[in-house]
Amino acid sequence: MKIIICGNYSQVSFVIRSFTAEESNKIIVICDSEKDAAALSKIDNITVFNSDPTKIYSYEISDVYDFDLIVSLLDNDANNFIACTIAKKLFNVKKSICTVNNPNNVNIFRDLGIDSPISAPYLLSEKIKGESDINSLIKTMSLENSRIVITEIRVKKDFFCANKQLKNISLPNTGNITCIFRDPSVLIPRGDTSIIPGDLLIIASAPNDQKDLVQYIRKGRK
Amino acid sequence: MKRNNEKKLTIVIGSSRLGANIASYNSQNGVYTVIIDKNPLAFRKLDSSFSGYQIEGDAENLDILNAANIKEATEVDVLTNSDNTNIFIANVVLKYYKVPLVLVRLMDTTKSVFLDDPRIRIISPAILSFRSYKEIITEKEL
Repeated sequence: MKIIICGNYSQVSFVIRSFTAEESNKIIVICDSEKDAAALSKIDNITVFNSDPTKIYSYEISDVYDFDLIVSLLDNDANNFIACTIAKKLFNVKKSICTVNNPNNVNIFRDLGIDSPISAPYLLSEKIKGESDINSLIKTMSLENSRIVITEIRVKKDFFCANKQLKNISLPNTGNITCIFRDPSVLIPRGDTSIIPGDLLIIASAPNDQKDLVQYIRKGRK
Repeated sequence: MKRNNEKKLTIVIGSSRLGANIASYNSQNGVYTVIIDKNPLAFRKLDSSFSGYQIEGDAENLDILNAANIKEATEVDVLTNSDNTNIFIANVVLKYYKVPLVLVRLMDTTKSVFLDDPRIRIISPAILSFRSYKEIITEKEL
């Protein structure tokens, strides 16, 4: 994968660990601080350009046309928007990820074409919502910008689905049990698989259907 | 020619010298004017005759734009000292509001590609300064 990362030493050196493990990755870093660029250039297998990541010429000199991903970790939201927009619109970079300081800007960035804007307070608030909406025995995580939720739910003996075969549960078609963890085994569910108390069900669904699905697993139809 | 300024609402974002002058000019000409800046001290650049509204806040925030009644705005002038901020705010305005005219101050005109919309007009200090330079030189040579 060919990746551009924009930012200063502390952010880039942390994030870069996720990418440098894979030797086939080609990584270009654009950093506007001379001191930070010098420090980053000591990291193996990356190329560092000391240039302003919000200027079009920085992308021309670093020759990033058709790269797969830009990760922008600049301090200012508008600068991150510009870096990602230059890469996507002018250099045909396929996907953009950036940090967003103002959590209210997450949805705005998405609407303006940034694929994955990430804000710590926004993620925290989504996590709290996930925790409080249902209850503590359920864990959730989001994929594809919160368009898919993965829900983990531990089956108790009083659940509607307990001791039933999947084919007899008639789970609503708004979600699916993708996997069952029955310590120490991982089961790929089929129609004749029985759910037993203690199983950990991994359910994929759209966020709006999550509550009803969990309700159904626990209590059956309303 | 005198403009018909009834029912006009201009929002000026950024009380820079340019922003404060434009806001003062519009206000003097009877245009209902709102000026926004993060720094309240920036409003000191407004003319003493300015009779519009001043909003202290970050115009990157939709709440601030809504507080300025942007849904009714006939013109938004995005004039902060940062090109990147101006482009971002202008894109937000174009995306969420039906403002018929959005003026954007841009120093680096290569970034005008990110403002490709018929409602946009770009004010480029670099181009205007160069035009003035040419006029001065031409006058001198005559």
